Amino acid sequence: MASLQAHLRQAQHNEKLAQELLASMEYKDWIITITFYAAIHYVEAVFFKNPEIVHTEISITPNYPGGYYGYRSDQILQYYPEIYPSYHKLYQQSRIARYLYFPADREFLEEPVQEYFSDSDVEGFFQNDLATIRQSLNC
Amino acid sequence: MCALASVSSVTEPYTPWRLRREDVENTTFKMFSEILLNVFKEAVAGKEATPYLRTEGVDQCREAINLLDQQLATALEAMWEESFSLNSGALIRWVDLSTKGEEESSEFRIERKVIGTFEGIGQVFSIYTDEYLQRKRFLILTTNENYDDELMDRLLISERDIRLQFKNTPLSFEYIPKLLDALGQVLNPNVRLIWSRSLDGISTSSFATSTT
Repeated sequence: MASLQAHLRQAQHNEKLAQELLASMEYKDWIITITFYAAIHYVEAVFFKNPEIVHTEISITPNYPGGYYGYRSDQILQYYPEIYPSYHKLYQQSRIARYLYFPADREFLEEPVQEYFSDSDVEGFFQNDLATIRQSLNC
Repeated sequence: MCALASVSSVTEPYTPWRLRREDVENTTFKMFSEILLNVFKEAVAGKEATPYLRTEGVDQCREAINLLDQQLATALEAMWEESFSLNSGALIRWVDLSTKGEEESSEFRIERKVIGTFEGIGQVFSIYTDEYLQRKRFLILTTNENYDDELMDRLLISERDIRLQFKNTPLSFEYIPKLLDALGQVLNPNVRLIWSRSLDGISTSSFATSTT
């Protein structure tokens, strides 16, 4: 199990790289993905301080509906509902960025991620959503 | 893009609560009549069988009517809180169940809430449901072709409110921006279309397969 400090440092590391990539906007897909992974580590850091959760990978019960994502999502909703929209947005958009994927056996994204998201969308994920998560969790 | 399977040309999706306007009025009238009748029955119960009500009987009836009025107001207030439009089929279903003294299933209650919430967002075109990874999943199809941050905010805040209301039910939501030529179509045969809206004459198609 990673420590609180490990999660925080990893979150900051990811956030720093996302910020560097934001300068050129040449890799929107990776900015979105890295921003989401920064968010995950901020969330896991605050989970670590919560004795009811501690860590997703060790606290999750077998066959939990939705797996790790479902568990993490439910814990956020229960304990930190104020960050739920931002967290879930980053999750959804990073999935699109990584897989060009939409459910129901259909690939709807017929254009590169670079064209699907505007510059301001990507800036918003980083400057608004990730910031909301970090600030709300006091990380 | 994945090869498309043969697409059903069904134009009227499976929506058990898609009823006509007169059904709304009939069902509402039926509910009102039955409640009124029951109230009067209770009011007269215990009295001697007489064609005329005594003064106390009249007072009892007046109280019963006031009670009925309060009940209706309470019921309507609850419905407004759930953001139903008065012509919503979901309302009909609720009224129908009420008149029969039945309780709706938890699954329907969730679907009703989801429909009532998302139909108020103009870019939401249709809503499907299925079960995925042991969760009741809703596929929310929207009309935007590119990412729309304002829309996503509205969708996610709505989702959060729904999930907070049904904490004990594992739920999942997917938001699918649509290309116009595919609007309203989901090819997964295991999903069930529960709501759709028409936009400029574009009709919807669905595989009306129930998962329940």
